[in-house]
Amino acid sequence: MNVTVNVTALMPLIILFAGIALTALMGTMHASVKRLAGLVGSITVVLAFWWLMERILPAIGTAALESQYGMITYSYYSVFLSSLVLVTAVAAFALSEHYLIAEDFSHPEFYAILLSSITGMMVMLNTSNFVNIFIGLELLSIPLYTSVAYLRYKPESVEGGLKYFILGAIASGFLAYGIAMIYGATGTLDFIIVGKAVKTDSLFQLGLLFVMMGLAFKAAAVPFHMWAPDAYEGAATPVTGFMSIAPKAVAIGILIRILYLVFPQMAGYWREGILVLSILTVIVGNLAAIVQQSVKRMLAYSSISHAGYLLMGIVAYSIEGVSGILFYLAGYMLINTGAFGVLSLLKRGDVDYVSYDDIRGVGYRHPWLGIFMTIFMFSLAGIPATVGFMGKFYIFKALIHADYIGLALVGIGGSLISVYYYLRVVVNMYMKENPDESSFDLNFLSMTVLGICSVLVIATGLFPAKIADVANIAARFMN
Amino acid sequence: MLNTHILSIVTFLPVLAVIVLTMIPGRQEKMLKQFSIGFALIHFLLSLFLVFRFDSSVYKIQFEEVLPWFSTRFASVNYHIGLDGINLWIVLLTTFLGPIIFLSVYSSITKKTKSFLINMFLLEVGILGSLVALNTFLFYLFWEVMLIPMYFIIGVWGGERRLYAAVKFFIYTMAGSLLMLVAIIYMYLKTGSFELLSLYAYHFSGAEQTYLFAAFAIAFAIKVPIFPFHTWLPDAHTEAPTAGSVILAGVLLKLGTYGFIRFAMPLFPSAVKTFAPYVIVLGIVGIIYGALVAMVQKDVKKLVAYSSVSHLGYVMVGLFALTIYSVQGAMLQMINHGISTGALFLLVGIVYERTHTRLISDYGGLAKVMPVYAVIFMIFTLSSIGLPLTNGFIGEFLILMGTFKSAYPYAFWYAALAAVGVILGAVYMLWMYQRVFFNVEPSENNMKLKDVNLRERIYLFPLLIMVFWIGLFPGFFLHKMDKSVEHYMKLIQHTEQVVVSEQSTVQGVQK
Repeated sequence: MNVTVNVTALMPLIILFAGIALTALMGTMHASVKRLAGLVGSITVVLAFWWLMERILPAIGTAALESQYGMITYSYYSVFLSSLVLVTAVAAFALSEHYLIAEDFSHPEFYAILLSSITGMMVMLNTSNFVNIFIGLELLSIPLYTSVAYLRYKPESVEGGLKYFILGAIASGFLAYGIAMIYGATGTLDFIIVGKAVKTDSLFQLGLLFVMMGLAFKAAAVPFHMWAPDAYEGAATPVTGFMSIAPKAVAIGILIRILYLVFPQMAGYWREGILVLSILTVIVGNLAAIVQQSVKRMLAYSSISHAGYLLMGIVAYSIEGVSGILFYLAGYMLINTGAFGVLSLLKRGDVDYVSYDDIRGVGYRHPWLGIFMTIFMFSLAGIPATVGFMGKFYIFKALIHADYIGLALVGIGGSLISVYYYLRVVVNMYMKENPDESSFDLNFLSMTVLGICSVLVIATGLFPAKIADVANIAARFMN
Repeated sequence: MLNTHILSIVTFLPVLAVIVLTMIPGRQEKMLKQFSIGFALIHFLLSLFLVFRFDSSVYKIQFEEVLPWFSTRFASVNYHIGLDGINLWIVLLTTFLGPIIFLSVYSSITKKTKSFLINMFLLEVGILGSLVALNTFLFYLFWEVMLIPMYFIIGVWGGERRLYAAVKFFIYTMAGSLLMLVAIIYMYLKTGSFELLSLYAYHFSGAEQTYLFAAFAIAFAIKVPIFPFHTWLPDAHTEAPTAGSVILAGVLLKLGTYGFIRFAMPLFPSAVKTFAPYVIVLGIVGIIYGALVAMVQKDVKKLVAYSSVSHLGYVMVGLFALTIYSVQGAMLQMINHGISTGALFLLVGIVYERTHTRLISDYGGLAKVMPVYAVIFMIFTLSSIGLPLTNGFIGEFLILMGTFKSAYPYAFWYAALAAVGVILGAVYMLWMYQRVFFNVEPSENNMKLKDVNLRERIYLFPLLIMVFWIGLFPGFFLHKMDKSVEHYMKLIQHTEQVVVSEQSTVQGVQK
């Protein structure tokens, strides 16, 4: 068989692999070179992003750009999500730099690990074949387990990494099992062909179920979320930020693609399933976030609840719902990068635990940091004039349009609960006195990233049309 | 510019103040405060244009501005604002209270002054924006954004239990407005428009009206607040700093009643007919309950806060009695309440600044040491009770008369029970007055109290004028709303389709 290889399509992966090799190699070099690893990592990601925008995007029409019979395919949809991942990665690299130096544990391998994970995400997003989904997932997950446990001298970091690894391995098992069943039922692993095979037998159904469960694990949807709080808490804060966005976007993105493209004939079944998952996720995530004493853990649960809103969008089963989800993800990326970014600056020495008491009066000692965090918190809570509101607006609108008013009300109840714990951050920053006048160590690069995020949060909240249009185009071309 | 965009300028002018304030260093407290007073005054004077240019011979929306704001495949929203007889006076009340509040802030706020002033100006933008918005999405945006500065004002500059009060205020209001959001989205999906004026023309089915009205009504009822949604109010009022209470009582609560007039009632006329008796009963319960609870308060600020519950009960009764008198009375009463209750909060603030207590039992005999203060307090007390010659009388009279004449089977009883509230109002206000100003000889500490100073007289004086102006010549105020109220009555009495589309083509000033 004559396999056509499209170098244009492979290039982003080649760039990323080169970046991995380079940063990993830098670990053996002189300290002055090692320091540049973050920069090299960022440049790699930016290059991949540039290639995606300049070379791949123009080549996509209504049909996807393919290589090796759909092993690698780019659609508007996958490019949208890929660019989200890449942008998140650049922000995470920028925030990590300072954090790791403060930890005194900055090694080039850190960037190599994260780059591998990003490569995995790219593989997973830009494919129409179940094999690559699995390979991508493993390439995504294994470096992430490592990066959670990266601060190896901290027990909570190792604990988080181990939990994540064990549960994640089970999830991968589920996914592999599900894929095998689908192959058994249809004899193919290609999305499009499987999608055309009108099958509803029990093997096929089980396959769907296992694939859904595997991806729900990765998206940290309740009841498959057990690993998330510990893993999020154990990881270095910028990594937590990255983990709360990129893998979630990938898992949800792939879930949508698989459900919509491969299993449209079973929409009745999986809509029910996702409906239950989304309700559980929103409720449990929000309720658990209330009782947390650590801000980081609160944000971990909050990001679980946000996965719930995204899942709600899937239930709507419409282009509108998908573009709502994509818009939401774009906004969520800005907000969560920002929120975890602020948190990563609020550390003293190597103590990572930030309780509500620790942030008392921060708004007065560091006015800009306070304003940024306030913007992020209000945006997460879904207050208008921020992108968080517009995201929820689109998703709820899609739900009401699909006649799921009850589900929309559950979502709204969830965001009402969330107001309480997001406000708690603001309350502590501004409304409680703190005798301790010491200040935190802020650096220019991180503050710039946070500043850009908060400006964009407001700007896209007020003028969402641009991103909403792009999201809409992406949602319509999923193949 | 001034002709076509005057309303936008008035709405967003405070943003300019915020920008300037951020540039003045925080240490320059005096300069910050003086600038704010001056700016608020200019803002008020500018808003007077709206009154002079207002054409009261038509019901049409004036100073209208329509611009596409953003448009995507799944939602397109216009920036659409305008003024008619319904919101004219509330807008004016907001800008009128501005300089007064900033004058009172001069002495009452001493910490983090800059942030306070910024929050006040932002709050004003939120309030004005939601008052003039004629697009449901735009309205929702302002409505929610308004919460944030108020939340900070209560939470940062409030009293001892300020955190509790601030969070309660925020979550309570948000709970209601999220329901409203669902209703707004639903209406958009049904009609394809967020434009209020075209939504007026759309006729929703009976069941839809019931649910949509309920969603809107809960949001507004919490804001008003109607009994039993009022529990956030006493907390918010007692904990808020004086300036916060004034703006909360003066304008913020009016947004609830305004929401009923502008959105909930004309959009869903048949639901209004179904719900009206219940709302009236709740209004009456609010009147009497508020009055009874006010009676037993030991804290004078809390007393005034509960009197708000009672007063706004009248407004609700007036609105839902659905007669032209009662609606006009209710709208006038909204302004009256803003003036007299606002003034009472200011007065309570004045004495609180001097004594640092608000307990009635700590006062007594103040008339001896602060005679001018006592006189001013008396006038506002009487205005709050609704004595003839004062503004309160006109509003309450119109409401009661309209209710009495309304078509409900129990109209007489509604009016009679509501009138009981007037008596109860006199009881708790005068009793409080007696205990604060007379009864005993002033205590040793209170003997040293200084009477109102020039600055305080300056900001109380315009309020006094308003009490008598509205009380003696209400025609000027009522006349401006006549046409709009007439048209409004048509809207809510029509359960069939009403054509109002010619309104949306109107641009700029009508002369």
